[in-house]
Amino acid sequence: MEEMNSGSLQESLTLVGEILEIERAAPVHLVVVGGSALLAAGIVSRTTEDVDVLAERGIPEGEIVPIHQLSRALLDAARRVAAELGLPANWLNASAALFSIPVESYPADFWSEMKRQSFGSCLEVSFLGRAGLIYLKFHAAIDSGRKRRKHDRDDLVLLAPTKEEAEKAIRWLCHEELLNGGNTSDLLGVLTLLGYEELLP
Amino acid sequence: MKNSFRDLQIRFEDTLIQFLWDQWSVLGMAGRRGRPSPIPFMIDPEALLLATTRFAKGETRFLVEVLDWLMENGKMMVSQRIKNLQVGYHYGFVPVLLEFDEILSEARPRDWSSVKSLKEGSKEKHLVRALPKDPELRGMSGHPDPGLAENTIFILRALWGGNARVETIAWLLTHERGHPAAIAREGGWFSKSVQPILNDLEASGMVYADQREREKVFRLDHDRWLRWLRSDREGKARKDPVWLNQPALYLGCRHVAEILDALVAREEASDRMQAITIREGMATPIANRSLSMVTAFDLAKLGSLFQGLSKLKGEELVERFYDEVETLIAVLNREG
Repeated sequence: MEEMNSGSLQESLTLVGEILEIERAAPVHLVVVGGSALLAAGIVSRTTEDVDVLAERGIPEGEIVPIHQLSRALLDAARRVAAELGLPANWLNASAALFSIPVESYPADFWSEMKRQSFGSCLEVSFLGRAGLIYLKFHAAIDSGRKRRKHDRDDLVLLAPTKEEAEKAIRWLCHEELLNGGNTSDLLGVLTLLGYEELLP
Repeated sequence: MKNSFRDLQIRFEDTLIQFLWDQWSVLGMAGRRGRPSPIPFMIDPEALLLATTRFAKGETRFLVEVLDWLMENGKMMVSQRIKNLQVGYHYGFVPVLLEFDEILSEARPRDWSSVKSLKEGSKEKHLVRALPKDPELRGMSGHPDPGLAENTIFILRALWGGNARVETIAWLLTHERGHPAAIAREGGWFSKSVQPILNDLEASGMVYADQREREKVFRLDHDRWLRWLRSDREGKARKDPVWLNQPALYLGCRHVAEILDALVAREEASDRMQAITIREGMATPIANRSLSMVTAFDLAKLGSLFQGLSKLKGEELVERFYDEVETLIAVLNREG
């Protein structure tokens, strides 16, 4: 199975958009996080195996609502694209939303700097911007249940949050009670990596 | 992709119609200028009628000539076989078939109730009639020329009537040996019809049965049988008959026609999108339990056509598909 780089990410979403248009599907606006958002923001150049959809956005400028299952039309389009481009069957998925905290728990600036892109008239994607990715990566990097924590820490280093941004992320983790005795040492490891050990609460 | 699928579609449809028209002409249908190109196989009349309802449904003049031929020769057609082939291969266009049935209902000397029953299972609709309700027939159609090997099925039907015996013998004449189920499948009959016929034929001493492990396979002495088929009553040499699984060929052509329809409807689509359309069209059966496109062409002895395409992607798949349709057009034109 192929993994996606920046070019194939664009190609696969363009093809999904084309299929939705041909099938006259209802327009959809997805909010995408994870590796593909990092790729879209030009923060990483590594490949990613999937496109994580966190939420759906009302059209044209509506509310962001969590999405737990992609529509049948989207799943069907993704399946057809997977066969053509040799991608994993679940390359477009909403599993990020399943493991995420409620979208309303994210701070307002989480949604800032999103990179919005149209893939035809039926598919729009907002890739989470740097601000939101810093929050998510801080959360992921201290989550001892995650297998890809090494990647998350590396991504956080590439995102290079300023001291103020790191401070805001830690405040948010505390506010949402995502920090506890069990992961304080993980946070210290992350802060050490970033050179902000003094921010440990 | 630089070539136009619209142009390819037009050439494919025109070639297919010509291919059908040539066969009807060999069977005695009027209306064709000049001599038809030779047909390199024995014509399967029921398979031909079903193909005509599908691929010539917009050709009123052609259909009226076919109707004219059916008025004259309809008694030689076997309605049970029309039904069997349609149920097995799903390439006929039932609304047009029913139009033929409706017009022929008073004139024809045979019962076509099997054809009528196809209405039940057909979901396809035709918005406009293919045939005028009261067509003016010229009465110019002749009968199949018994001097032509292409008309072997009619020669045998003239001898034995329209029943499974004809396709069974025709199949054995053109194959080394065969199992009853395979003969039935290729001949457009049920095994339960063919098995007792083979047992009867074995009793004649003109057809032999060989026991192979637990199954019985049948064969005949080709030289002995073909001796009387090789010359007509004027002593002119007749070619040996050649078998072609025509229903399978037409089913493959229906797949191609439907893929071309979809491609033309999306002519502006990207190569990737066209590749998806082709791959899905090739893999998706026309109906429940019907054959895939590649299997159909394989049964029609065109096994190299469209083979291995499903592994290709994008522009490469689109271009190969285009080339394969060109090859199919050449086959239908009987070039080379």
